[in-house]
Amino acid sequence: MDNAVDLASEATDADPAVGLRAVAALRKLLDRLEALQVDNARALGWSWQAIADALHVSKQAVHKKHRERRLFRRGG
Amino acid sequence: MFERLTPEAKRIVSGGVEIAQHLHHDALGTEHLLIALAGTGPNVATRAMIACGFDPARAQDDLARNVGSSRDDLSDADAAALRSIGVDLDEVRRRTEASFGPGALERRRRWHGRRRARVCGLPFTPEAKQALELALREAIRLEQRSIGPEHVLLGLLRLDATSTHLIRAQQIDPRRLRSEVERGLGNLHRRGA
Repeated sequence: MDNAVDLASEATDADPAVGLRAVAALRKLLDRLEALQVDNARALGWSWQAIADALHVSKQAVHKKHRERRLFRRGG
Repeated sequence: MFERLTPEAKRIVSGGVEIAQHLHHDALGTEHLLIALAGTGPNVATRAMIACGFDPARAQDDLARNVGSSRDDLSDADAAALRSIGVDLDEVRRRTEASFGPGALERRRRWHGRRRARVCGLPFTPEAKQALELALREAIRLEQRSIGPEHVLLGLLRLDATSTHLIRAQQIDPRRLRSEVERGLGNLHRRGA
């Protein structure tokens, strides 16, 4: 049985190790999707306030989280 | 170009590769050259960096915090964990790539071009390559036969790249750093004359 199938079947046993691992992976995915969407919104001219409203967070929070990252995002 | 580097400048390139590998980055960028450069010397370049208050340890922290590494990408284990709660990562990837292009879910740009120049197994980012070309141009402008650390720094400062973001993140104006280097070189020539 491969690793993936093991994990999927163990999840139904409510094993915290598996459940928490899934939450961690989901958070990683969420971070990627948020960064992607924020970058796209900025590229389309959205204000930080408009992005914050759509994400249901404060403008300060979204700015703090993404401004520095965006400065470095190109790499190189 | 590489054969024109002084031994000290060659150590900047090899030191940069080590820093990139330590951070699990998959290419040698201007940011790694800058931090490696700060670890050489003392020379005109490092004296100018110290005079401007540049802190290489802080730059490395900023990098580790802000530049994703290949280790941060969603792995097969992540995909399996997501599947256990009913999320199909392949489908999410397919849809985001349909809207935003290949590699949209990856945190960092990938550098796997086969024709890209490599050093110690790592490819150069286009910016890092350009910085060394600009360093050569600076050396020629200053009538030097080889590329030293000060020319590498001047080359890096001519670009708008991650290296200059790291400098600005420490409230240092790249132009000020540049004039410090020029001043140091002037002093050197006066002493030599």
